[in-house]
Amino acid sequence: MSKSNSTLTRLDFLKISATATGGLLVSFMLPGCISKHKEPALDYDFNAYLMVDSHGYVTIKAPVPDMGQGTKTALPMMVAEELGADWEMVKIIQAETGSEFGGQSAAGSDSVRDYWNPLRKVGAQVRELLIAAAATKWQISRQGCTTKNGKVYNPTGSKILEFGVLAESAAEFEVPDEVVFKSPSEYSIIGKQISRVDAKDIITGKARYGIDVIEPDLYYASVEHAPTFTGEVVDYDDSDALNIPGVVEVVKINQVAFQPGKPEVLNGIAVIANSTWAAFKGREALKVNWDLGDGVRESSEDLLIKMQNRSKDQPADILRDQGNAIETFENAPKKIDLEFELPLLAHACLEPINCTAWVNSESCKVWVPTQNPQFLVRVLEAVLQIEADKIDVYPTMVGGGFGRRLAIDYGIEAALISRAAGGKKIKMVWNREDNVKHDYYRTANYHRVQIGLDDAKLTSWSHHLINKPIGGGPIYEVQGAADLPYNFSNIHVGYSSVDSSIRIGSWRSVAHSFNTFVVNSAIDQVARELDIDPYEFHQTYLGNPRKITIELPLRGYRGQVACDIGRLKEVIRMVAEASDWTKPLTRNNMGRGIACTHFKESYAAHVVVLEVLSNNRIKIHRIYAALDCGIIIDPNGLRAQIEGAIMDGISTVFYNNITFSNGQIDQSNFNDLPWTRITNCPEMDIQLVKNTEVPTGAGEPPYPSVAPAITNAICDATGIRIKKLPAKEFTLA
Amino acid sequence: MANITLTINETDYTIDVLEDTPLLWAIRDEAGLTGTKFGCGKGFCGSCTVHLDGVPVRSCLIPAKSADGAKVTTIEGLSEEGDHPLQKAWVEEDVSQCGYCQAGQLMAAAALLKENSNPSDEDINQAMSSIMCRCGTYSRIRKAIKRAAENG
Repeated sequence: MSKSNSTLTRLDFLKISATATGGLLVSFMLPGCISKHKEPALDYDFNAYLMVDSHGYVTIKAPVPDMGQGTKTALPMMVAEELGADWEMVKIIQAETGSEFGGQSAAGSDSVRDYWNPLRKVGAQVRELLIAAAATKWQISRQGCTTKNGKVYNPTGSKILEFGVLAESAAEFEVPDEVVFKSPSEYSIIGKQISRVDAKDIITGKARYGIDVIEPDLYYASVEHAPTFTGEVVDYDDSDALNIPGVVEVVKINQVAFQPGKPEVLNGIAVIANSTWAAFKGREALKVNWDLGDGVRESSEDLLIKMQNRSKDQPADILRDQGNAIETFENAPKKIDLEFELPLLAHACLEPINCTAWVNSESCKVWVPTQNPQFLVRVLEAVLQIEADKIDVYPTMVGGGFGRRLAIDYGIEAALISRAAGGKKIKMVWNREDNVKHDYYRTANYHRVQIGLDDAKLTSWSHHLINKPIGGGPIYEVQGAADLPYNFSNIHVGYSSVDSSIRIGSWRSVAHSFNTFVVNSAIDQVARELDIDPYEFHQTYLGNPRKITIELPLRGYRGQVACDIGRLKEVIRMVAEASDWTKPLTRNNMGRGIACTHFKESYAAHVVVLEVLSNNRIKIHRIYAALDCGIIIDPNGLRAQIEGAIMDGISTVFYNNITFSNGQIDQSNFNDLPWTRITNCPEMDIQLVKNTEVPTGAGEPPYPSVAPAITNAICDATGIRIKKLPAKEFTLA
Repeated sequence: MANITLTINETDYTIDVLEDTPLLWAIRDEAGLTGTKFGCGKGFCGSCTVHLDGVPVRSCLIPAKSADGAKVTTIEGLSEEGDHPLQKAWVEEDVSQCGYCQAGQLMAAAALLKENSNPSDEDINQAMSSIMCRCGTYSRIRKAIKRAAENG
């Protein structure tokens, strides 16, 4: 029986029905990729479901891809809490796309924030249905009945009925429009230590990532891609490749781009074989002649010079213009003028890019580790000219995303190979070199920060940042720079774009990944020159606790950046206190640095304590972190994000660096793209702020302030201001 | 082509592979055991770590041919019921994030504990530094190894 009411929005619509086996099935709609993302939601009726079976097992179909950040655990916790389920009886299934259920994207640290209300509401609505069923059985009023641990209780607790017994009859009741949410003090699931879903499968080797998909009649493909992002095949000789036992076929794949100059699938030659190794060997035996295209004329140095030159002229876009920064700087008695150079960064997801696809004339099935299943369906529809309801995308477990798997190039590529191979089922696997050389890198960027000082005060702040943008202009590039929360009287933040053949895309925390580094480094430098304690500097210039909104000339929510100054000050205070900030360090080769960030209303701060050994080797003693992201759903998962972000920040300072020569990426594997190891893992002191603010996400917020806290600590110890990453003068001990 | 017999987790697999097929791909594609992972193919990341006659090796660097006649243990064979002390500790400490490196981590850790039932931090660093974790779960790996060492 379904309830429909024209006054309800589509998002409120729940379809409830009894299952054939005596259970309750609730289909519902979670907000799709509407205003915040580039692509509108697909027109599915429902994209998630909750089922209570006759034994009381609750199955929740979780529509958000889990790439390790824990949404497959945290999101169902929200439903289960309001429902009053027994968490041990709750099963979570990854939603596949298809005619009935759509997937969502995992990006922007948005999952917990976006689904906080809708998921709790569904849990509460189903709770009311179960209560209605119990109350009817008991012939009492529903008032005062509660649910807990998978059972409904009457007001005195003297009568109990299990969900399993009630499920079928619950389908006959009307879904309430209005529900009352539990208060945080009543939580028995949210905020508790919960073992992440999938833990057992991972440690027994049973977990199936995209690369582990096993299907009957499967072939394997390895693709020789154009060495530059502008390269085209002139001709190729596949005779040696075809002579390798196991190689079945060689096909040419043509570039796919949604916009000129922004290739998604690159031009390439795909070798298809009956095993991964034979496909790799076949590809090695290919002889391909490439026209490298315009990209061959560009190397890292050219891009840097281009950005530096651009910095000499006025910014193309002014994002913040408060007071008169330029004139104040001109007349300032003391000037600080800093140039920052930050490199392309690799994603280095450990599970290599891969996808299994099976395309015939009418239908398409794709098994793929992705952060963006719904978008992939849309693009497959357009590229293959197959209707969306004949396309099934099965999202698998994801061995790391970090923004790389928001791009759906590899899904399209595998599908095109399958089609070119006459409808064979193809598992396409990129080797590590492919991953390193054909990434969607975090963009390289260049910054000029000019600060005017007068006496003991900062009087003006001008920041011109330059890079190749993800979008057409500043929209995804200025967060962390234009939304400065400090009380500087004169602020000028400008942006200019340059072009480059090297492909870029989203990388954990996007613009914050570079702007937070620059801002915190510059502030630290100012504090040093004014002989002010950096901690005091942050606190003083943040001003009084209050809520502010910074308006920027950007569309949508990016044009209104809210910041709760009190919450930001508090995380800074917490790490300072935890690290005994005011106590002198025990050795004079030690250094201590502090940095902070506000990221979509989550607040984070770090203090790093390190020692500089002989030969400029850095030993990081301890990293203190504090994070305020509102109500904590899964504290264990949250801590894990903070720990992982710390390692990511260390990699950023010392290792992650992509360069290119003649349009071709220099690095190839983990020998020339090193990564942090267990030996580099410092002691960590992690504090989670516990409050009842709306949850605001934690995948990205704990990352941006790690790197500047490290380099500020190095400056504290050595007097050397690191303005270029990775910090080549220093190594990790 | 080479016709070889691999004994993996006490089961024999007789397979035909290209002469230079690495053990990794024989395990994954021919024996169908996908717990052992491909991360880099050149021995840098350690995701492919298995035991060859009890010794931890990078299966991406070992030709499958040379494992003919030896005992191979993969993550699937680390324990019958997923109850090796390390596996239990890994769940109790909630080590995994994306989880992709963890099979390699566990195989390296299991080899360590067999040699050294009470490893120091330095011992752990030395034994485990060859296995890369992109998500940064190292602090929990350390804790889990210590926990397993304590609980035996």
